Amino acid sequence: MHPLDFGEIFRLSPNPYMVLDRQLRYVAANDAYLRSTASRLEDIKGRYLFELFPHDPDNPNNASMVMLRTSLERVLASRAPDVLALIPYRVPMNTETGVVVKERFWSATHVPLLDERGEVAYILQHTVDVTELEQLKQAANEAKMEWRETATSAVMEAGVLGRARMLQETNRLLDSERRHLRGLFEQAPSFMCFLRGKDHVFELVNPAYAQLVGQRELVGKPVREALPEVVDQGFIALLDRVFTTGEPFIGRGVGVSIQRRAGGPLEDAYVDFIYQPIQGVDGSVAGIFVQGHDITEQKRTEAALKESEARFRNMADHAPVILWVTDASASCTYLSKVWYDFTGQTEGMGLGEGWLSVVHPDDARAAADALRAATERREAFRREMRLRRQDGEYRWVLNSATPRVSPTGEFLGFIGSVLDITEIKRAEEEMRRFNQQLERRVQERTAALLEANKELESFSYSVSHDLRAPLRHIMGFAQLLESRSSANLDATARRHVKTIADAARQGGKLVDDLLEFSRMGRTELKKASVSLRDLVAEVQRELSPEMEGRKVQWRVGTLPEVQADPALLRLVLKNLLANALKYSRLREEAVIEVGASEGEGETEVFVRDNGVGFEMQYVDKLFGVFQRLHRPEQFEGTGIGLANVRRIIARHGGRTWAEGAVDQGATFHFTLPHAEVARSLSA
Amino acid sequence: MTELKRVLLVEDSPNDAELTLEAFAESGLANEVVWVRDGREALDYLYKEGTFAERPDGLPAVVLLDLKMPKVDGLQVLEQIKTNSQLKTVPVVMLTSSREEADLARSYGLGVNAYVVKPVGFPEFVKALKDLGLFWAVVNEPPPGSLRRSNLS
Repeated sequence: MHPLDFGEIFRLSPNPYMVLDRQLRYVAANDAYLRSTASRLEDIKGRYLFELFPHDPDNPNNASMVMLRTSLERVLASRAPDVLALIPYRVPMNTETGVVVKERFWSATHVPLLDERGEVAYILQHTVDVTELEQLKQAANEAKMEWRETATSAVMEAGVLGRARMLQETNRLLDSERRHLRGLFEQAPSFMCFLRGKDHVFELVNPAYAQLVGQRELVGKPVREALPEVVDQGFIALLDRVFTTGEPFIGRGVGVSIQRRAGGPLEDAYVDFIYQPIQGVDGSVAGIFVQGHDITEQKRTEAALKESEARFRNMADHAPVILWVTDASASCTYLSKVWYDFTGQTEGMGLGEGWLSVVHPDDARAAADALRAATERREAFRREMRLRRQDGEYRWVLNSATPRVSPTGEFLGFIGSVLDITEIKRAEEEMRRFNQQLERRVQERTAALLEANKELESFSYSVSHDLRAPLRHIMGFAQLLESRSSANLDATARRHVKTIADAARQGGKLVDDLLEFSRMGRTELKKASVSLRDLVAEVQRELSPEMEGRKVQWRVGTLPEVQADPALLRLVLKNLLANALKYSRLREEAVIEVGASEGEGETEVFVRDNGVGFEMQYVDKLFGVFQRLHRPEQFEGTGIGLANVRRIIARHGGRTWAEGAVDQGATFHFTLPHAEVARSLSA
Repeated sequence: MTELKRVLLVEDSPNDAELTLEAFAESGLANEVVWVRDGREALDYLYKEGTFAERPDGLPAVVLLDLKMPKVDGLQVLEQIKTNSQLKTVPVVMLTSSREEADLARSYGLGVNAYVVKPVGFPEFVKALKDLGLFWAVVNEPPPGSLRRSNLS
């Protein structure tokens, strides 16, 4: 027995067969194939399928060619057989009139021939010329052939085409599933790619992956070539290991320096990824499926957070106050360095509830309760407490805190500060003591003043009683002496007696005026609305005896209502008008003006005369008690009147002043505050 | 026949008393003036006690009372008079140097009938006393039981 010669069987098989390589170049074809395509092996071997048989040379992308090529590519990609149930395809054929290119119908099966590694090395095509079948079917439809013949063609169609159609349907489903998977792959937010072979050639790359590496051309290139910058970063070694061991690799937060933009600088990126080995049909690793997430942003945020936390810590630890942080359960999670410096605690001692152990025993429970209550209410709090310093001294501190809230409004606990307020408290205490002292001193002083006032009153009383009495006696007895014994007295003696009586009278008047002045300072102000105009008219009437035998011209302007004690204001006007009359009595015609004007918050009143006036340099003496600018023999008086005026106006909260010049009259002014600003001032 | 009413002058100062008496004389009033030196004596007189136990019955037509006196002062005497059922009808005139408001208020509060401040000038003093004497010792009809002195001579 000769062993079977498969080459011969292939060559002589009545079915047409041909073999293509991965680039779709003819490797082999049997006699049946050569016959049905009117070709010779030496003409087609090594040549590209579609170069030889383009179906339609005028349309390089015609539907039949695409259909055939797609089937072949499917085999390359899937490494599984693919069937074309019916494909119209023009190829040359021998006829009686020679070789012609005619439209023919084929049914083709493509089978992959794998190499030792499971890769598709070749594709075997088995094809059947079904042109006649198809033509028969078409003719039958066109000529409305007899029932029997129709039945015959239907049976044939059912036999051959029925199976082919089923296959095609299966293929269509597979194709749509494939497209669906492809879509998922394309749209997946995580980056994915498939690296084939030991050189890790990019076979499939999704957009997310393309974005990660700056949209570079990847498909068909080994990683080493496509991404040269990662070669020295350990990834190739990793891929090699996964490929050879078949063990997947999972990387978390792995840093990679990579060009994120084509031609751009190297940037640091962070990725979570899986290298998943994919096994071929023969069970060996065919490639590596790469899938992962770009977590660079997340890393950056984490880093920023870490940095800001570090900054906070740094700041907190260098701040001159103690800072602390609690969580939502009122447990202390952070104490700044100053706390440890201050209390001498270590980190382990202070955190949690440990800080309470250095709070004064009398304050600790209340402090803990306050923190808990504030935590429950999520409200800021302030509390003073005593804290034991490293040296054992308890210091008063102000502990205040505000709630920490997450961006989403969640309560996180408190951030608080502790401020040593011992010195402030000490100062406050001192201030309080000082104030108390001051108050006590004021009280003492007030008591002393009250005492002095009382003494003054009793002095006034004595004066009124005891001083007036002897003056009265002197006068009385001088009078008696004059009336009873004048016959026995000579002129000089009589003059002396008269002098004694006059002096006593003057003394009595002084005492009366002085008492009046003293009373002015003590009597209570009874303020009311007073018509200044009526008051002036009243005083004028009262002074009419002084005007007898004199020419007096009164010029009284418009006078308003004022807020004042009527009796006291009357005394003021009486003094001023009486003075005006008195000091103008040497004038042939006395001119006395009274006027008023409204100032800011006060009424100003003036009394002007054309009398003897005064020297401005002595103006300050005018309003003094017993101060006189004229001798008694010129103008009588005790020098109390203007002092009373000033005292009364001052008690009303007003001011008094005067202007004058010798022989050119004098003007006296005073002001009275309006009701809202008027206040009683004791003189 | 004229009956002159008796006047009780309570005055600690002899000078004042003398001037008062002189003023009475000057003003031509002949009423009998009984002068006592202080409040204690005034009350003795009014109650007919001590040195005045033997005095004739009857009460003065008017009491001229100085305010400031040793032992019992004018206000105390006034209070005694006005709170005593027998004495309260006796007119009392304060005759004093003080025009202190407190004194005035207190005097009227205790029921004084008049309050006169002694003028400094003697002529004014004489005039004031004359007016006073005329009113209380002549014009005014005293309550029943007042001492009267028959002017028989």
